[in-house]
Amino acid sequence: MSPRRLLLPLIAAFLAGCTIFGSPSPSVALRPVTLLLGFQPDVQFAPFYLAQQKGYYARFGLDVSIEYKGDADLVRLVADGQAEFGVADATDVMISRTAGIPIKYVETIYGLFPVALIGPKGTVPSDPSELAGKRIGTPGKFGSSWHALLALLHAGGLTEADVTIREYPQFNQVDGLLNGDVDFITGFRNNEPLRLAAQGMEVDLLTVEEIAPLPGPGVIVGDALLKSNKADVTGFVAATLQAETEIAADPQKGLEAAVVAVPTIDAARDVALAVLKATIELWRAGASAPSGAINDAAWASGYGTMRALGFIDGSVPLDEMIEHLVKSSDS
Amino acid sequence: MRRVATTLASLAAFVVAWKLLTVVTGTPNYILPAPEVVAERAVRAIGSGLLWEHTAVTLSEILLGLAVGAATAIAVGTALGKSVVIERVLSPYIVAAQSVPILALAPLLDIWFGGGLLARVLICALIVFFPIAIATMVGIRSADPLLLELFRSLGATPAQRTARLEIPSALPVIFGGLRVGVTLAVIGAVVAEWAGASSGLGVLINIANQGLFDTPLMFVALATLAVIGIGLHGLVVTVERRLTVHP
Amino acid sequence: MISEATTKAGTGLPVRLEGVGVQFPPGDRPVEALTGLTLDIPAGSLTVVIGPNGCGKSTLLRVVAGLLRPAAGRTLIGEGAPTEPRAGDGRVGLAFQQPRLMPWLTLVDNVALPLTLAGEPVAGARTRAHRALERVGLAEAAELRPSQLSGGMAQRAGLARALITDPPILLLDEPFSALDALTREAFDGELQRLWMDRPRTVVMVTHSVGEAVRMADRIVVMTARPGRVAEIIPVHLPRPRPATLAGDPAAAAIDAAVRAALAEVHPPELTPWLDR
Repeated sequence: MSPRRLLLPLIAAFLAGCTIFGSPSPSVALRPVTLLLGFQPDVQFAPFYLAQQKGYYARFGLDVSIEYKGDADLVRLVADGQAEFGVADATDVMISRTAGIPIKYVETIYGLFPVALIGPKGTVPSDPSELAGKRIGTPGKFGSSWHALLALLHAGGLTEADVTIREYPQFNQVDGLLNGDVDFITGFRNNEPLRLAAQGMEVDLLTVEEIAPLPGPGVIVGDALLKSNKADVTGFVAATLQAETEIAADPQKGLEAAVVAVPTIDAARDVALAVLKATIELWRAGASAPSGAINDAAWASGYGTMRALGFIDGSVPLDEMIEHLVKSSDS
Repeated sequence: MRRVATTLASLAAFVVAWKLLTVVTGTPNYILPAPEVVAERAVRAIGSGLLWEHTAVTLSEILLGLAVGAATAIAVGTALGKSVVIERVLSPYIVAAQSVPILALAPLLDIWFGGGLLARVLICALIVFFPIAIATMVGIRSADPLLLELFRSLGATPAQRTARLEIPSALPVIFGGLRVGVTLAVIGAVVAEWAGASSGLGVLINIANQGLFDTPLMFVALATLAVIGIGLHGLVVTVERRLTVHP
Repeated sequence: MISEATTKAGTGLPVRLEGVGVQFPPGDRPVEALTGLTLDIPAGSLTVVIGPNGCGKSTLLRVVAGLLRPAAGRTLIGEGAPTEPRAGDGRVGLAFQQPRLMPWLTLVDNVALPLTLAGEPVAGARTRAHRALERVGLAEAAELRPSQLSGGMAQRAGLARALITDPPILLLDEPFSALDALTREAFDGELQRLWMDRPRTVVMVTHSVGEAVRMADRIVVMTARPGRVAEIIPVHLPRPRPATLAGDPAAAAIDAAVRAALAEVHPPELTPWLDR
């Protein structure tokens, strides 16, 4: 068990005592918290880098340190309280919550589901039933890419058995598409298409929004933290949204913050900026600015799809998986 | 009978200690599941056929990998043991192959050999090779020089010397290598599966962990691997007792 | 006059060493184990070679067995058209100081080893091995493993193995020195009986003067390293020779002669019983 488990309540009590007698200012000790982001540093995490660097989290009494973990570990660590915040796929939240892991999704980061079916320009059908008999490359039979693929097939009346799946555990499915081993691949809308274009292949996408809507990745916290320190959670959510909005208006700001946090990005600024701009489109989902509010329609539809696919059995209801901390702009 | 009783007793103690650990530390089931949770999940996994489906795949990789790896290792080890020249020539490559982490090599081997059962058997065989080859080499060299002279005085051919003196005297050491090799074969099969298989206990671990967030199922897979390792090791020990003489 | 005539007419082959020299290891800085050793061993005789450790007695046996090729001189076995020794040609049976049994084989398979290595079918070899074990009194131990035997039993098994091909020459390298004195006397008696029942050329190495007098037709005294023949002392005592030979005046005289011969060629520290 992490010693932090015992330390945090003590610090929280101390800080609570401090903040009662003084307004939160840089001179007051901040509560150190951990944010877990997926796999490795990336320009897409710019809002978190910016919020930390500009002191947006500090304004709410939080000193955020960032670590990188795989999705499976991330969810468990946040649920167990060994980290306070995480960013995870909504579909993984559904599965893990159903499996008994006590986390909640509290803020939308990606307004659009980031995974899509990608193929060479002119070959991608708009009707998923036409995917029958095709060869499709995907990293593996887990995670949001897998869920999205099965959701698309399901919407076209197909199952895994109606197509040929080829797994790329090294996440290099673009190679399969480039050398013709597969007809289509799953990929991230702000990543693979750019890589393929750089290799000379123009592509089309089949996305889930019109066919089988799924909610995109967002911020998660453990039940315990939400109960004991709701103010910290709403503060974190607000600070993150502020940074996200700023970057959406001025992508360069996000790039600079990312370079500070991840110096290696400096070597490929152009690529990073292109990825960041594509990412911002996914955050905004066509609105004027990212909202951060939970997309109830996408969640309801996604929950139903995941249930139909057998990933969840419906024993845990949808409203236990999410917490509405951000007011949606049209409510 | 006494051996069975001691084993059961120690197993019971282990389960009790495990349960105590989860209770005392208060770890949730999605991080360290309690033994009864794992047991219940195991029963479901066996009943649905899920466990056997993956176990059969991994078992075939292990047994074939062992067969290929051990046979090659004993042959190469015998050559190494009998010829200092061969040892000097081959050693650097053998040691190099052993030193490169198999976790890094496995994906390459998977691609080179077509990504199917053959690739996984070869990865498994590679992991198993080194300890058995070295044990064989040491064992062959440990043949009693007095017995070697006896064989010479009886006019034995080199082939007779190898088959009837060097290999029988090497057997105890070779079996030591086999004990190690057998447990490594289990690791090798899992590593091979992680390089790109679609079924097997290694794959089940990943599916349970990353896809299903089902920690008890992951533990069921781990426990099954442990059982396989223990079973194979026990088999080697039994065969060893029958084939070798302990003075 | 007691002479070799009292023993049965000798079968077995004669051995002749002419000017044999052996060096260890071959090449630079060699240690000379034997030098200019010349010795005639008549067919069917029981010759005992004696000398302290390091004088080359075991080396001499290995030359006759064909396990060592001398750097100088030659060794010939047989009459008519004698040839050099060759290991495994079946003319020489060898029994060692340690029994040298294969721990993973039963006694009967151990004794059958010379036959099975020569290509004989296992069933027939085993039958002969059983008979060989009977001859040395080990019939009940046939299915035991070497680890289950006493030292004496193991030595007897080694002897049975050496005799199983009925070789015309039997070489024994201190075969009973690892056993206690009483067992040793008993085994000497047994060996003598076996030899009298079926005579062959026997060459036995020992460092026990008493054993030499008990066993030998001729005692060959060797010099210190590098070894050669110092003296040959004939032993014309009647056979069978009992274990209580020590009391016999003729035997005592031979014993003294042997010790005197040893004293002449070896450093005084090794022969403390002599007044100087």
